Amino acid sequence: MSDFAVNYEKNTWVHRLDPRVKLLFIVVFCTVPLFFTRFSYLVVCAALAAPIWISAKIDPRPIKGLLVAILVFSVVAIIFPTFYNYDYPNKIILFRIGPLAATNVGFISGLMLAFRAAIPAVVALILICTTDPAALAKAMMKMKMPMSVSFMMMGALRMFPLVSEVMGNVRTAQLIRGVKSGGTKNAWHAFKLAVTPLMINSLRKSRTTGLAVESKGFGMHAWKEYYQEYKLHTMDYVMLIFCIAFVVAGIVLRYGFGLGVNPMVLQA
Amino acid sequence: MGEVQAKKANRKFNAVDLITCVVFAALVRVLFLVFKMFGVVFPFNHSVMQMFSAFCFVACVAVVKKPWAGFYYTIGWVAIDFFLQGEHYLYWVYAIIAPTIVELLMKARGKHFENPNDVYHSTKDMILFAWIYNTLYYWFTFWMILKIFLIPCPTVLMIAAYAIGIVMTILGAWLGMKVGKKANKLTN
Repeated sequence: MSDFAVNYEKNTWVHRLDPRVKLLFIVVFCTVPLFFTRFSYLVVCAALAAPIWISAKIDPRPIKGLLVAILVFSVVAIIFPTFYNYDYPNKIILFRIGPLAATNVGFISGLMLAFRAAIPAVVALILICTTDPAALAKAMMKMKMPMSVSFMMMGALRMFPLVSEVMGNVRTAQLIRGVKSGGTKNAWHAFKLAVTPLMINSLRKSRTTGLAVESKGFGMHAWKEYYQEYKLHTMDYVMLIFCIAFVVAGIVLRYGFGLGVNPMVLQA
Repeated sequence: MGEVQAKKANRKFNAVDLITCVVFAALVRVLFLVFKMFGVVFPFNHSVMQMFSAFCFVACVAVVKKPWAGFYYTIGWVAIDFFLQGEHYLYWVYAIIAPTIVELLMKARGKHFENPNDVYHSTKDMILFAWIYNTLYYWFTFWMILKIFLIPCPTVLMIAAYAIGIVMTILGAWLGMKVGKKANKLTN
C-alpha cells in the first residue's frame, strides 16, 4: 500500500532539513489552515506548501494509496456539506437529487472543509517521505520525549507499511480463492476471513523485530545512545523563520483584522 | 503462583510488547483504509470504525496482557494518524486521557480478581472497557468534527451512529478477544 523508504534516499534540501524543524512544519500546517473558513485563504496556504512538496521531489507512486485516500476523503468532505440543509436565507439551490438539495452555501463549505482536511494530510507526507523514522525518533528523543514513546512513533511508521503489505497479501489470496468483498455483507465476510492470518502474520513479524531491538539493548536503554548530532543549519533556520512568520501572519489576519472568514459558513 | 503472575503482569514493557502494540495500532488504520467502512456513509462510518477500534484494542490488551498496553496502542494509532494524515495535534489530548482512564479502570477492576492478570482474560470486562474507550473516542472525534473541522452533522444522526456503534463495539470486542486468545496460542 505504501513504501515510504523509496523516497528517503534523495538528497534535496527538504531531505536535509532537521526532523525537528519538519515536525514543527507539520504542526504549523495542521493548525493555521484551521484559522480560516474562506476558500481563497486556504488556497494560499496550499500554495505556500506546494513549493516545498515540489522541492522534495517526492515520487508519488509508492504513496499512491495514501494520496487516493486523501482524495476520497476530500471528495466526501465536499459532497456531505453540499447536501446539508444549511440554515442560510440567501442560499441558492444548485440541483436536487430526490429529497436532497445541493446548495451553493453547502458546496462552498464543502470545498473549504476538503482543503482544511487535505492540506495537513499532504504536508504530513512531506515529513514521512523525506525522513527516516529512526532519525525522527532520535530527533524526538533530543526533544526530551520518552524513549518508549519515540520508539512507538518510529515503530508506527515502520510497521504501517509492513502490516499494509501483509493485508495486501491476504487480499490477493482472497481474490485468488474467489472471496468477494463488494457490498457490506461480502466485506464483513472478507474481513472475518482476513482477520486471523493478518494478525498472526503481523504478530510474527513484530516478534522478530522486537527481539532484534531487544538484542541491541533496548531494555538497558542502550538504544538511547547514538552518534548523530542534531544541529540546525542555515536552511533549518530559514524554515523556522518561515513557520513562525506563517503562524504570526495567520493570527494577525484572522484575529487582528478578522479576515479569512466566510460569513456564510459561520452562520451555518 | 498468583503472586508471581501478578508481578509478571506489572513488569516493564520490552521492545516486543511495544512493537506488538504498534502492530495493532497499524492494524486498526489498515483495516480502516482497506475496508473503507464497508462503504457506509458519514456519520455511520464511525459506527463501523467502533468495531475495528474495539477489535484491535481488545486484541492488543489480550495479547500483551500488561498494564498500559492500551495506552501504548493509542499512542501508536494517533502517531500514524498524525504522520500519515496530518491529524490535528489536539488528538494527542485524547491519546493521553482516554486510554489512561481505561487503564486505571482496568487496574481497579483487576484488584477484584485473585490474580489481577485475569482481567485481561475476562471477555465481559474487556467488552465494558472497549465500550468506555470507544465512547470517549467517538464523542471526542465528533467534538473535533463539529467544533474544530466545522463539518456539520445533525445531533439525531450522531446519536443514531453512536447507538449502532455500541452494537459494533460489542461485536468487535468479542471478536478481538476470540482472535487475541487464538493469536496467543499460535504465536507463543
